[in-house]
Amino acid sequence: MSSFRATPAVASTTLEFRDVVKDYRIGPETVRAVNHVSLRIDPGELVALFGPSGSGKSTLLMIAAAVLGPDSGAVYVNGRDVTTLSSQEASAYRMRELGFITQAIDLLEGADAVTNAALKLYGLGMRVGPANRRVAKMLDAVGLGARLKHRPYELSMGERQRVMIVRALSTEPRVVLADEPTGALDSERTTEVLELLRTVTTERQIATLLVTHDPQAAEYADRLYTLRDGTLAPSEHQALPAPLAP
Amino acid sequence: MTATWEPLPPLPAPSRLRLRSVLVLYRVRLRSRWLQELLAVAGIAAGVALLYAASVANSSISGPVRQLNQGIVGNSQLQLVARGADGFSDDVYRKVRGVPGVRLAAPIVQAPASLIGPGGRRPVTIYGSDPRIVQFRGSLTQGYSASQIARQEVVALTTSVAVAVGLHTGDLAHLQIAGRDQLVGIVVLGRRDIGALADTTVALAPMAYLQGLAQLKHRVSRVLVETEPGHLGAVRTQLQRVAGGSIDVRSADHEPRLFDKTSQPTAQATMISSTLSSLVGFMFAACAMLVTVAARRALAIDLRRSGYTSRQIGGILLLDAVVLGGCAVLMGLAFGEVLSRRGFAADVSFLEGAFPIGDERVVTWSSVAIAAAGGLLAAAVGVLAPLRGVLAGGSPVHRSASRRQTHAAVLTPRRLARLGGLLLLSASIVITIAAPGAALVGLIALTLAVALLLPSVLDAVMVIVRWLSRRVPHPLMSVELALPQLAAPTWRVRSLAIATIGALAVLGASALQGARVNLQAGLDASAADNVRVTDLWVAPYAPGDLYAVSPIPARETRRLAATPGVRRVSVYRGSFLDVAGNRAWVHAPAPDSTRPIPRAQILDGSVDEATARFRAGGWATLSRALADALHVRVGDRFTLPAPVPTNVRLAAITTNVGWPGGAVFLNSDDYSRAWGSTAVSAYQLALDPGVTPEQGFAAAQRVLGARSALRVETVAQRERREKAASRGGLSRLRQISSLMLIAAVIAMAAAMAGLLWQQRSAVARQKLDGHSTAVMWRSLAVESGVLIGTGCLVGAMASLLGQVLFSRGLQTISGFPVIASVRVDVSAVSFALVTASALLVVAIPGYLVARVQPSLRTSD
Repeated sequence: MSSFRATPAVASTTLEFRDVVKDYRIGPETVRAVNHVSLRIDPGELVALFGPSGSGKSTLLMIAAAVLGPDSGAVYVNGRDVTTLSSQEASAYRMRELGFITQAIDLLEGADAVTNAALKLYGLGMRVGPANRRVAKMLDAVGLGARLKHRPYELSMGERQRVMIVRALSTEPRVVLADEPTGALDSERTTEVLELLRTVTTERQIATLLVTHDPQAAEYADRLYTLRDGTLAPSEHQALPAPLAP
Repeated sequence: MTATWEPLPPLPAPSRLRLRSVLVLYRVRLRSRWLQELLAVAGIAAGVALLYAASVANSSISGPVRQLNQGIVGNSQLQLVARGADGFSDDVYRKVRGVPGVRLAAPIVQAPASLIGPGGRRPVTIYGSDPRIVQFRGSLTQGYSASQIARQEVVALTTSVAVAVGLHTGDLAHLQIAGRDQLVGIVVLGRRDIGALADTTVALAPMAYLQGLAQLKHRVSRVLVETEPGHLGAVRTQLQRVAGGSIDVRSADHEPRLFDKTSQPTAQATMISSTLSSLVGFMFAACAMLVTVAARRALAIDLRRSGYTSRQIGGILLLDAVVLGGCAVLMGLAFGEVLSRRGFAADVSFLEGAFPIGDERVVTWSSVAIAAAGGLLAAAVGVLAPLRGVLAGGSPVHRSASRRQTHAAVLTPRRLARLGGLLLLSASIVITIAAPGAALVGLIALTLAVALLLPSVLDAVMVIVRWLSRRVPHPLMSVELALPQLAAPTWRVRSLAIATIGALAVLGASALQGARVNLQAGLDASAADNVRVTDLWVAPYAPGDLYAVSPIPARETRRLAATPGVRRVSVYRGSFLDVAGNRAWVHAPAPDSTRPIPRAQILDGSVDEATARFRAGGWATLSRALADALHVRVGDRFTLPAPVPTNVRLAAITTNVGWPGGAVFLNSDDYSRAWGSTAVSAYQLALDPGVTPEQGFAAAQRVLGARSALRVETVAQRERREKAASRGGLSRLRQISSLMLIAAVIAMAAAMAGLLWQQRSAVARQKLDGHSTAVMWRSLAVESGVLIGTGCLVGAMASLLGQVLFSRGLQTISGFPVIASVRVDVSAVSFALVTASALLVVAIPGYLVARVQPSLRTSD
């Protein structure tokens, strides 16, 4: 058991991993991607998770998003174990309660900023007009008011990432999972994105789990962890991996 | 940075995805990958065109026969039909009218003739009736009678015939009928008079006038009957009593039904090839869709991560299928229509002697529906099938994780595919050897085997290419860059799709083409056997004169015997006769003919014994299907349903000598007794030693005169014509295989171009390493070459088995004289043609992709 913190009783609006284990079979071998991870993130808290490639960080996010099932353990969101959800329930959970932020390359190339940001709202069954107006306000608030009709290739990487964040937050989720959101950004844009994440986490009382390689994240996170070979351990800022050369 | 937006209105309760949202999403996706979508549309359209053109060609065979029959028989339910060209006495008609329960009856006379106009000569069947036939409301006779010409002594031609010979209303033309040349007045019936039947090749005349022209005074060919309601069974029984065993009592739709049965062997051959081409067309379309699978997979993953349900994602992707499939269907139908009009028509002129054939193209709703459904299904399968993992709620979000999982999971399906492929291949070999009658099943098994085994073969080829490249002292950069691309799991499905298109195209086209060549060789040999029994042939010009089935009075024997250089004149008789539900070709050479029964066509029985029995009389041969239908074996006695039913014994069983309805051989004396006629169908002239066929030909023509109703032909001329006719009959097999090759080149080039286009980012990144445009172009060419070449090579190799399988199947199913051999040349040509064409076509997009600027682009 490599949990960092003892697991108290499940509280509402928290994201909590309980003794999560996940293995992959690669040919005859079995590789443990997540090794008995327990972790709790409270509302308004931003937790940064570091780790080298292949350490299991993204697998952990997929389990929290109810996309991958763990081999054992549970993940509680608002008091409900999301690992036991049906496919339909998992979709509803991702749509309403979860915001998933990935790298901006996942934006639809042919769509403008508004359409890209409104993607989740369309899925919710909202009319196109109200959905677009809703995300337009949010895009304006993150400094993209003049770029609403721009397509991804007309936006900077930082702007694209902000579109991605607005998409994730468009349904006002209580939990946000961010998978390397600053991976393709320069230092200045990274700061912008991390500031934005920090702000919305606090203002909206969101439980945010940020998976990153970026040492700058340490400045914005409430707690830092490192995942190595699937095992979670507290992280010191000094112990972080050196930043990648630009 | 802050994110202080105004409080947002509460979100509505989740509801169904709105159509407008789906359309918005489609539009934005289309913007970013319109070229790939266009290429996929082109690929599907090729398949749809193939489906449509094959289907229209099929329906165009029997459609005109059905239409023409309906145009003549109208509302009648029953008919009495003469078994010979001489018809039966018109007393029978009077007796029919007296049968209780008969509401209406009308006689018909029909006679084969040849019409000569300024534009040339055209064989034509002339139908004659009197105004009583109008009561049956057949569109042909109705329109004819309404045109106020039915009582004039003129011959009415359909527009199709009139145009062919250059005649107009009011013209006089030479009509050669019953062995005589006569001048007749002409009237042309257009679409306004007889509708679509204006495109058929028939003529009409008042019955009494035609009886005079055809020397059939007081004779009729058919009597149409309409019964009082509820009296059909009773009337049929009474008509059979009137017919007395020498006239057939048939239902009114007997002719088209008999046509269907007679053309069944041909139809089966084309059905097999059409099914195969449809299967290939469908797989083209499905494979073409796979080329765009990566973009759809990425979208599906993104949507799933955003919380979309499988149903929503399925709906969004289904719109792709509907739009893509819809566009492709429209494009494919348009392309198929052009193909169908220009050269993909059914040529069944070889059946003209036995049935009134039209040259009309018949497009049915089912042809459109089959092609459209095929295209849409292919698009749906192509869109949804590769994403079933995502749609089933799988976990492909995390790419590296999914890749690891996929890698682990793929091992078993790959082994299964290999095993399944080997089993199917074995099954097709077993069918070839032991059960060629199941050729269609065997060909489908072979097609699927190729699709399943191709991945393993492609892997092996890549190993070989890599091994060969290592043998070269300096590394071949283009190969080094191409191979990893081919091996990349992300490109795997698309690469296999392209290779599969090539394999199936070459397999399908070569198997069809090889079988056609084998069948053609068999028919050519049969034609030679039929024709090379004398030095010169003299037969009347008439529909189907190639078969020598139109009787003429035997008044030219002496004149021809007196021709200088002619040693002997033999009488040849022949006709078509309905035997066991087939319209069989009856050959009746003179008893002393040199080789009365073609040696190579005998399947069961001794040639010498059969020939001796033939000469002695009282014996006949039957082709396999007829013997089977009558349940007789060599030596058994059976009744030949001739105008005078005659008992004969079976001398041997033969092939169908190239006539799909089957063949009967008996000597001309037996024929004369069985048909109650001394008329002849042809004269066979043997020349004196030293007289060349050309000299004999010229001498016979001089004797007969320029206006003779008889055509003189040397053996070489007649053989050439017979071979041309059989080639016409097989034209559709050739067209289907050619079309398959064209469709393959289009589908493969489209798919390959799509694949290359998607590699722009990778090429841009590789160019950062300093690789030149030329190297990148060569690398893309190697990639295309390995994929297309491997696919086509596998298809070519499999087609060798396919040729034998299809040839043996044709032999068994149709009774045609097929020579089942392996045509390596056919497979090699198809392989070279498709590979070279596809590579040439993809060279252009390959070059454009190779020219991309070096960059760190991360997406397309």
